Amino acid sequence: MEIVDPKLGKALGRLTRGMSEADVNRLLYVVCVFELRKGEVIIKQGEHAHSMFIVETGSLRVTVGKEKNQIDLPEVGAGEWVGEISLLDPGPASATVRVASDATVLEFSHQALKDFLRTNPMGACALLEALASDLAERLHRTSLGLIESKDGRLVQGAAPIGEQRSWIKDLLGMLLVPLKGKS
Amino acid sequence: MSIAKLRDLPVFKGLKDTHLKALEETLDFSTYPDGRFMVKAGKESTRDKDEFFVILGGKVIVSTHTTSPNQVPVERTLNVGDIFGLVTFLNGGARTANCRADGFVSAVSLKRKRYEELLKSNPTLASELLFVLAAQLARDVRACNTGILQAIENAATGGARKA
Repeated sequence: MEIVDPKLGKALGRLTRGMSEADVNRLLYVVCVFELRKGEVIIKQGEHAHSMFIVETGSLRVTVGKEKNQIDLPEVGAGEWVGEISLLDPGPASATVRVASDATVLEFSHQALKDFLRTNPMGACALLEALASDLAERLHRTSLGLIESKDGRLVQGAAPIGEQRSWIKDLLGMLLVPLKGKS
Repeated sequence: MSIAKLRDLPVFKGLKDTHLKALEETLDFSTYPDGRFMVKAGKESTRDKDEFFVILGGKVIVSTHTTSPNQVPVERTLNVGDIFGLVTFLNGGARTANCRADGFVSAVSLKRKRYEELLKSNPTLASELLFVLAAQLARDVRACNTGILQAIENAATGGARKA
């Protein structure tokens, strides 16, 4: 069997590693494809979110915090995704995601995941293992930043968080943006 | 161990009784005396035997593995229903933290090999199990994000001053 839309199939990248072509096709059947213009907001921090967005072309910009405390995280490009936390556990979004350059994205909703899980358990296992591995690795890398909460503050080493903005950016980048270049 | 005990654990809440029964047969049940290391940081992966744990009774102290004197070790106490050991279970690699029984502990664990057998014999249960584990990881990441964002807010409003 061939993948019905090889370009979209390729966008799913490492999410489909270990999946049969039939399961990739079934996954493509439950996602929605959107053409988005630069500047559009697809996820707003604090608002309820329930979908993951996988980039086929173009790029997305992820920001956290408000106004002067806003932090820009690395752009998310083709083959990468955002929103997997809300996909797995719908709730308030941790970041705002805007379209950085005109993009084609695949939306994979929590309901679609549930449907895929019910109808294609083997394919769902491959997908969930890829997502869970990524999340586990990111939590682990973050723990290596050795954060400690003391009196409501987070510190790395002896330095208060407010004085290490670049470190915060790295840390949030690790937590919020899927790992890049992982084979 | 009974399926009622498994059903009481938040992580397995929502699984059907038939799945809980199959899970009960797949999980290993163990007890640990006070002070026993359930996981030792730095221990290399043996893939087949890599396992994650769910605490049924007692408390477990998790402490991060520091590699330089500038790093602050983080210690956290886990309670009934908490999960640990997922990083190595999912990704292989050396164990990343020490996990030590704080008092008498009972726990269930799932070895990688048993999971892979389950994937072949009962993919529906395997996918349900992976889903609840992935959702738990997502909640952990969200909680971590929330803590960091709160700290940024605190820092911006003068909540954090030079130590």
